[in-house]
Amino acid sequence: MVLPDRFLAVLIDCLSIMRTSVYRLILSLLIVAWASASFAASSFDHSRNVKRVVVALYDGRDAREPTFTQVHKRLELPLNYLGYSVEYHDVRKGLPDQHGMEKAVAVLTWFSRPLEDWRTYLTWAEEQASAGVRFIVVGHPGASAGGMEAKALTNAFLAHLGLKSHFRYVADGFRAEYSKIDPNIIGFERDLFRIPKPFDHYTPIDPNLNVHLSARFVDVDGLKESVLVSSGVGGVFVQIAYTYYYEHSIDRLRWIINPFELLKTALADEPFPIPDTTTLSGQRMYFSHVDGDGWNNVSLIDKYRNRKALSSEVLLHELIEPYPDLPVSIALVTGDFDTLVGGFKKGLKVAKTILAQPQVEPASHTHTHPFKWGFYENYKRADEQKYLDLRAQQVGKWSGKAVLENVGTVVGADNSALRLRRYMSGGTEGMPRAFMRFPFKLDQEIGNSLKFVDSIVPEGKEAKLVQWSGDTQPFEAAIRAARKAGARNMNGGDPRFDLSNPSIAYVPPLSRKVGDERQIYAAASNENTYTNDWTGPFYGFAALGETLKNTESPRRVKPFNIYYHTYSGEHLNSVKAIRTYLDLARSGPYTPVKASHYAAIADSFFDVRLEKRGSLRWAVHDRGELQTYRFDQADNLSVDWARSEGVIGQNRHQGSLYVALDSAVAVPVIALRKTENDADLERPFLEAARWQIKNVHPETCGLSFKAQGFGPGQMTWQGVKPGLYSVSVEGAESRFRLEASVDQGGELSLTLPDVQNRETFVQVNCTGPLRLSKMNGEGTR
Amino acid sequence: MKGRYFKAALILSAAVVGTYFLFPDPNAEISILIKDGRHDEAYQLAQKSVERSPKDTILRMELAKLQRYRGELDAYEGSLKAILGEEPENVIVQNMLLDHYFTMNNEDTYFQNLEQVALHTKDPAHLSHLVAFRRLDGNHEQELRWLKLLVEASAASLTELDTSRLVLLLLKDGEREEALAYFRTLDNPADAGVDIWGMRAQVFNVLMKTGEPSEAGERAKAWIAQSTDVAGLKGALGIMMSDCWEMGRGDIAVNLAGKAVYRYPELGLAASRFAYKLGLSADAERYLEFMLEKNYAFSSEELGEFVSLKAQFQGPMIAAEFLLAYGPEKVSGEQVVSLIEMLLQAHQDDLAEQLSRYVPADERRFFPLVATKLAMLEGNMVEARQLLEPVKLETLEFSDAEQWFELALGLFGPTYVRQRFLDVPQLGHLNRELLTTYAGFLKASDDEELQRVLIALGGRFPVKGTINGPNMISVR
Repeated sequence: MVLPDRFLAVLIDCLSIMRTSVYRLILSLLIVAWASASFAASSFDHSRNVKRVVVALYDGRDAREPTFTQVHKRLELPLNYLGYSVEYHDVRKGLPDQHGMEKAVAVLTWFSRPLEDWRTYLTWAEEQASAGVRFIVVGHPGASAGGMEAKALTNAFLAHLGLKSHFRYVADGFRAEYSKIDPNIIGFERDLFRIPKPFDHYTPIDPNLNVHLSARFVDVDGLKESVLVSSGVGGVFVQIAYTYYYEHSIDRLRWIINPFELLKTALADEPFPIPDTTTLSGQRMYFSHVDGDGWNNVSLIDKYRNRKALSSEVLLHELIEPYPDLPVSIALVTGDFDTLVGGFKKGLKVAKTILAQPQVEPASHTHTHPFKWGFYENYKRADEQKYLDLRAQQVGKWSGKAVLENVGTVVGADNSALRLRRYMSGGTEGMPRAFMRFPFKLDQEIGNSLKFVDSIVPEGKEAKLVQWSGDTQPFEAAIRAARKAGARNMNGGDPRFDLSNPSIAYVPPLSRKVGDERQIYAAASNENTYTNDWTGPFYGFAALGETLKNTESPRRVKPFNIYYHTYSGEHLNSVKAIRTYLDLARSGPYTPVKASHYAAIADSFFDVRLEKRGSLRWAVHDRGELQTYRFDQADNLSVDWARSEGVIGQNRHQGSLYVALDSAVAVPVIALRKTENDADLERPFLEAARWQIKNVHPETCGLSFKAQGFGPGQMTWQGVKPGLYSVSVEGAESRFRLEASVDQGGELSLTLPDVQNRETFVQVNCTGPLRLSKMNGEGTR
Repeated sequence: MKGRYFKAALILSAAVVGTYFLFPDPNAEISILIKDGRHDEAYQLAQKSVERSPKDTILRMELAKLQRYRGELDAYEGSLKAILGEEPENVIVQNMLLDHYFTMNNEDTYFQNLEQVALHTKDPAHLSHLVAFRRLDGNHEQELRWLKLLVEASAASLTELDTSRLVLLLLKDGEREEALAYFRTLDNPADAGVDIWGMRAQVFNVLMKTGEPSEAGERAKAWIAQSTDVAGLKGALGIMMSDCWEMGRGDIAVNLAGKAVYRYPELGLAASRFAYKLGLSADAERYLEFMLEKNYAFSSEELGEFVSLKAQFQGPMIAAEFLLAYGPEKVSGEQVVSLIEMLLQAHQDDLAEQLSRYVPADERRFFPLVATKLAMLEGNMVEARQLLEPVKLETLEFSDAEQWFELALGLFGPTYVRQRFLDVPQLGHLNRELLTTYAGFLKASDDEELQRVLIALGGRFPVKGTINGPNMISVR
């Protein structure tokens, strides 16, 4: 229940005209009491902050950590997309206390079987539901049907969802028939089963329950009907067989329900600014990052092969130097340059050259490249020694020729490398890390690796990103080590949505929570998953486009990310596959950023606090690097510039309104108004830019702002008065002057010269009325 | 002579070697270059060679592969398509193109091509792949189409799910004869699995309804005799027995159940339950007795059901005596309570009290109505009130609702009863029977409350024995 603003206003008005303090006190107490009762059930907490946390309960018997839960794998992405974060609790370790529930907008469960301590859970759930907390129940409600107490508790709880269980399993789906199908919720990625799957018998007890899917069946005592999917004031309920279909023979699934719509139904009472991690300056964000695996591998490409060029050199010449306008984060496996562990000095020179490129962001891909992070959480050298012994046996069995062949692709196969090969995985299956000569040390992997990268970069650059290696499942202490070293962290998730992974269910959420730490997932998968673990076909990464397309439309759920390894430099077709997408990034409507910037934006998603300040008006607190806020189904909404503070632009895409904030403003306020169209523009605002824009100051006749970015600064402003303009661009080392014109549509298009991501000040001043000859053209430069 | 032949052979060999060096085999040369990693040279040679011999498919395929190696993917696709344009039956090139489309993850082109190749080659792997993807899509018409082709190509390649889907989809589409024809071909009585048994149950139904009960019976007997999947059989048995009964063939039901129970005594409870539902009480009892004869080791849950069935067949007294002799501690408190309830209804208060000792005190609160009655029997009104008070009206089943009303009136009086209803914010969540009873209990002066009840009942007021007639009520 939400306290209606209008009603609150009337009460406050009454309060103000009350003459006696006693009446005022009574009325105040009444308001407080009502508000307190309302908050428990509303989308706001006591401070009028929008509640954005969904508490997910999971059964630790089925998933040893949240990463392996159905909620994380299937529902956290839609929840993130809708603006919510998820906090996980293993029900075996206790249920959230009142403090833990204060920020919760709902509780989400996806149990596959009765809980061990169902009594405690259902008692707690019933209490929470009584207090107005919404529940999203997917699958099993939690208790076995074997006892009267379990039945009573189950139904007491389900009553809040408007349902009653009859504890009857209808196994004969063949003879059942669907009685209601809501096309908005059902049939999202696949059609409903022609032959209904078996189901449990639930009936509605709330006449206002929204039944999205139901089925009729014949029981011994007549025709019955069962709810399969429903939503109501108490939350959402989905029977397990009707969530998605899993085809065992190909190990793939597709949704039946529409998780976006269903969750929205369950959670959103009214719109709020959704922190958006996909878009910056009104356009889809672009970033690229490279893991340094295969740095020292000799390229097999003809023109490089003869001179035994490294894959990293190919990277430099083919994928980095030709694209100075596209930032890329290069993460070194620093052990690759450490001769004590089996690395080679030769690759270091290439590393220094690459990291010196202006568009390159230095990063670490660890020192010894752990493959199995879990192995090192409670590390014992003795356990690793077993692998080393195995490795020694393998090396011992090899003939000299085989040894040379094994390391033959690696340049500098000198004596030290051969001597240390027994400590190197050499790609051998099952080894826990690449360089194992010395015992594992977390400091060495994270802090020292970052420091090493820092030691070889030009002044002014710093490694501020750790790109996880191997299985990309770092343990809590590893993530903490990255944070304490002042670095962001990223990788994992492997988002794909294409023929091989034909569902949005294969697109992971923003992050993986590990204890108190958070790992940010990459926004796309890398070439390894497209090339059958780099066994070929090596041009497989050319298929990245399908995922790019499917994560852009009909919902933009991920930014544009090109993520690959240095070993892509081994083959001509793998290089070309990457170039295809670099060319696309260069020519398309994207806003390029560094990978660490994306990681920071994703991290910020979880810190943002939205304070409601009246109708369609919110203050944005603690937003860190996150500058874009989205409103869905917002064709009739527009930024109310007069009531907003620190808002620099808006753009529309697929029915959503993307609002850009000024990073220079500490606590911006977003206000919206209902509008028929955007014709009644009040002031200049940013529509889209390839650069990041801040410190925007609209002026009587023109505007000024600061801008920085990679490549030419293409940007479009709207709401500018028609006329001719002069544009001056001043940077630390550069100064330019341009001319532009704005036609009657109010659009100002500019392309500022490349300033290599240095901050520049831009002043746009009107210089005169629009000349007829310029009216139909774009802005001149 | 020998010398002459030798000379001729020598001249011939020299001619062959000479020809080879004059006109070397480009395929071999390309292979050598590729092996040496000299792809650019191989590519140039392949291009020239194809220009010289444009009909040489092997060379054109080599060129295509080199185009792929160089990342010239449009050219690669074009080369393969060109070869196929001239040699549509070339399976190798078909598969190369198919692999390419799969690698490129382009759904439309991949499936178009896969369908063509599958139709042409009838390769079970391709057909199975199409079946799987169409099933994933939920496109059952296409799934059926490819399933039929898969059966034609290789019936042995069908999974249990494939077999079941083929038959069931046809049945669902009303294609009875076709479904039965496939079923008769594909059913192997020894097969197991949920899908297989699901299909059998439906086919059994069809056979029974379409005048072929003997085939239904014979097949079912074969399944029971040969399948080792007791869980699957258990699920299907109930459906098959019900179908028999519906068709007036209780004899077949009994026959099947008997065979099933004698082979698997653990099916006794299920068979008994269904037999009892079908009115075959004597057979139902027989199955239970058979379980006892075989000294079947009941689980707690099974024993509870056994006693419950016994109570239904032979009355709660006999069941209670059996349980007291067998060991009430072996079943759950809930099952004991269930029996107590039946005993109370049958006014067997002594037996009820005897059994009540086996319901742990801390479990009584979970069966508040029965526990309240027991406390009242014991004359402990304070405990009775304590047990009844926490009962939430929203959770009451139909049969419990009236009991609650009766007990609450007796223990607390009408004012309390009225207050409990007033405390419920949304009467719509309550049992309709309870609401109707409540409405009858209200006085004419309770007009507002009556309206609330009426609204909760959806505007319809099935008043029974009411003080206030329905005419008094209207929704404003």
